[in-house]
Amino acid sequence: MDGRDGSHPIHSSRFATKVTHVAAIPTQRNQLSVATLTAFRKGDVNAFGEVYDRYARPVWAVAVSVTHADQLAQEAMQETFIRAWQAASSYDPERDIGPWLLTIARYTALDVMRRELRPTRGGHEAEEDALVESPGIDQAWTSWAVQEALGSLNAEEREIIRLSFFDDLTQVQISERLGLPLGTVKSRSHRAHRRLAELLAHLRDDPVSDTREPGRPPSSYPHRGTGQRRKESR
Amino acid sequence: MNTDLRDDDAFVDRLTAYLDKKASHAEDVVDAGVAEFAGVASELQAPATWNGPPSSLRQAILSRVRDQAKAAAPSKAKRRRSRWGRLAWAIPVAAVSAAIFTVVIVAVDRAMLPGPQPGETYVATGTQLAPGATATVVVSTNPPGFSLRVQASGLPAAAPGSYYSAWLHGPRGVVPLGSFHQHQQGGSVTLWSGVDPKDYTNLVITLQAEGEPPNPSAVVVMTANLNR
Repeated sequence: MDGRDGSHPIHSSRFATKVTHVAAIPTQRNQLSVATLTAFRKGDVNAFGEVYDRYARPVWAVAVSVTHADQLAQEAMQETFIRAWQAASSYDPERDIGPWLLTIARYTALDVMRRELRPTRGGHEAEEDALVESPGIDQAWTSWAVQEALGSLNAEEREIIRLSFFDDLTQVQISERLGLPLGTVKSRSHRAHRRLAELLAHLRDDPVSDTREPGRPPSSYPHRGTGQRRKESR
Repeated sequence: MNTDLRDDDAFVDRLTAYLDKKASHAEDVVDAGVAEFAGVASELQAPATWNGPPSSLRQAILSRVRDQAKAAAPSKAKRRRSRWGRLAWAIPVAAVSAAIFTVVIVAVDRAMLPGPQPGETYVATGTQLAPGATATVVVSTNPPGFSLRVQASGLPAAAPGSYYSAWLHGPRGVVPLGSFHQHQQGGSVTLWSGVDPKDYTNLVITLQAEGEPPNPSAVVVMTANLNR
């Protein structure tokens, strides 16, 4: 089981006891095939393009959440994928690539912030790294997980959440915008919220502290790697 | 259902309720004790969550990756070439160095070897079978043994099926030194002896016939007195 069939790899004995009666697993955002990941590992540019298309949004979300600036986020985004490309040979295609990229993205964004905040003193005086308040893995992980969860919703669910949270419309306004009865908007909103909450259930777990260097894949991956937690019953 | 799953369900229920209240713009959403979900709400409200990265980034990143991929392949070949280039330059240098080293070592070795002692020269004269023949015989001492360089003149070439053979004769017996045919006039022949010629009285050159036992024949063509 590798988690690419819509299920999720079992990485801990705690979850290993839950696999016997699985139900109501929300549809997971499409995962890349092992063939694509293997080609990516071998340095195939087309496979790299597929990895980019699949993970550009969550990487971007992490980059923005860490840098809080569009230009720096773009820099972090480029560096993340270039580092991933350069470190591809160290990636195990049998494992979920998401946590591997998340680790690279977070550290790369922090590096970009440190470079940006490094004082320029001139002369030959040694420079010192600026102290960058490191956004915890919580923040980066939440950004990643929300992006992954939204990617797993259908377009209708995603749209109603967008109108509600990003456009800040009331349900009455949404009803008018979409030409739907208010009751339909309420029920559709509730279903979308429920589904999103299920996809984010793994956020209840304590975040995994990760202090590895950028580009170094984790030796083992957290069970929440794809933003989807296996549920055995509901 | 175990505790974890109950906790998961409770979490999902709480998050769903929180999102419902936020979506309905309820005033009591903060008072509901669901501040733990503020991060999720913040992400849902962030432009980056919905807008995604600039589309131009894809092309920029893929271009950089393609450039790196292209650069990697020639650089590998270049590394191979440069390795061979260095080798191509190093091989003749190494060969020349080895040759010089060998010459020096051989020269030193030769210089350190005990060279041949200044030889003693004897004169051989022809018998009645070769009355016009003469030869100088230079006896030298060398590490492998004693060399006897014979420079003959007036000695006719041995006929087909025959050859000349040199011997040391003395109180200790007869010692063979080797054979020659003298087909080329004017040359010299070096014979070797494992015994000291000074211990023998005469150098005798005989004419031998192929197929005969390897003993001195009675046909003596030249002799030299070694006890002078």
